Amino acid sequence: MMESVLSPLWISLSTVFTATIITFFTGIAVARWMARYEGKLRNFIDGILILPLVLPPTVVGLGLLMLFGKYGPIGQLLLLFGTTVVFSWPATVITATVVSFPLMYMNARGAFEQVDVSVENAARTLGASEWRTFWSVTLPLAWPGVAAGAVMAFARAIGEFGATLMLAGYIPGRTATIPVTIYFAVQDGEMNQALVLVVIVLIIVFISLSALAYFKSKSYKVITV
Amino acid sequence: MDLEINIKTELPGFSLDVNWRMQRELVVLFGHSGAGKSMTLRTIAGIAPQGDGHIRLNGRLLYSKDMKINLPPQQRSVGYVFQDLALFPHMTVEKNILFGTRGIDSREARKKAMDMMELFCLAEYRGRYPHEISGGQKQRVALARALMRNPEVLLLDEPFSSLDDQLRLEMRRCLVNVVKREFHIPAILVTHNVLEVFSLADRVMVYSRGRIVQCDTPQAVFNNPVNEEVMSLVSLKKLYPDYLFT
Repeated sequence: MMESVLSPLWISLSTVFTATIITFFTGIAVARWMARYEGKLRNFIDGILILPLVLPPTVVGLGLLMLFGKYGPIGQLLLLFGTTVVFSWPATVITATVVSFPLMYMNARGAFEQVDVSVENAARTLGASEWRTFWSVTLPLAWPGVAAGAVMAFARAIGEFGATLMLAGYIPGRTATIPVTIYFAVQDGEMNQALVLVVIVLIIVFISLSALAYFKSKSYKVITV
Repeated sequence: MDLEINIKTELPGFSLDVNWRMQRELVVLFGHSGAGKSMTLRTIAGIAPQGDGHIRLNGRLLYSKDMKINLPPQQRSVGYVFQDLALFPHMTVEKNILFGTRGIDSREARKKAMDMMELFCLAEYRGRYPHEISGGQKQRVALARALMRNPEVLLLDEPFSSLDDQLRLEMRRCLVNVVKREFHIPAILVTHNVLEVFSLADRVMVYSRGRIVQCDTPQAVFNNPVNEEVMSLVSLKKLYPDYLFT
């Protein structure tokens, strides 16, 4: 029993933390760029970046399978190096990253757009480089929104099921995350295992929501002048 | 000290075409909203589109379209006080003032910041955040912060517009005492308040639709306005309360 609970817990946590770290940095970078980008392709790029949020997870999973599968462009490239990601732990990370990215991106972009341009310009006229302006002024002011985005991305990643099943499958001890394990446990009549995993997910989600509430309360205090 | 600006900028629905120079003086850019006053300041500071022409500060080209020179705001050596002050809300008064001192020895910078805070009567608020101090104190923080880097010119973009009459008077005195007498620094003030023109300006440039329509001392503009628009801008009604005219 212990092993059947701890293994999916470990796979889920390692997957979700890795995915959240990736979405955190890529989300910040893309959101910062998009927050100030005013080109003609703005709506199109925005739509592409948000797409995994609105598409059914199975569609995202199939798309990823077509990209990373044996005959997909990335899959072919990986085969040249003698490796593949389908039905492996990296596949769980890829799906978790893709489905959680839009939440990180949307929250971070919104937070960056809220930062007053004149505050950033003030930093520039005071001699701060673009890098220092970002780290000392923009990011601290946008931080509550950025952190809330990371928490929401984390929560979305922990619940990811459909796309993970399509790309990573269900291999206990390798790709069986908590949601996938719950599904198969119920199917196999292992209700105790399923319920224990449900309680664990509820605890993780509750902690995430508490963190989200904390960051939301923080934003008012920091941004108000 | 010599600042020369010769800029033609075309934007959708607006064009700025100005050519003037100033020396060690306080120049007021005066006119209706949307006349191009703030745009001129932002252009000098390098935070707005620059267009054709050039900007030269103390013999140094800040911008020249022909010579493909466009110094970033970080290298222009201008102090800028924004209309909304743009204080860093997550930093204390002291950290706001210290922000521009990177590269200076930290002990020396702290001493300079302390002197500056004393000069602007801010020492007791050094540990407070912008949302914990009054409007007048915020103005002084913005001014002190802009002056910390010893800029070659100070740009003031309607910094007193959100203050009540009493605080405006206080800040005008502060500006005259500190900026003109203590620092002897040339300054450009954007305003559409005629009292500020007469109490502060050595020279006033009246803007209208992105052009300068009159440039002279405040007294000369008041006595000999070049057209009806300038006359309406500097009319006695703008100087004195309404009840004097009823």
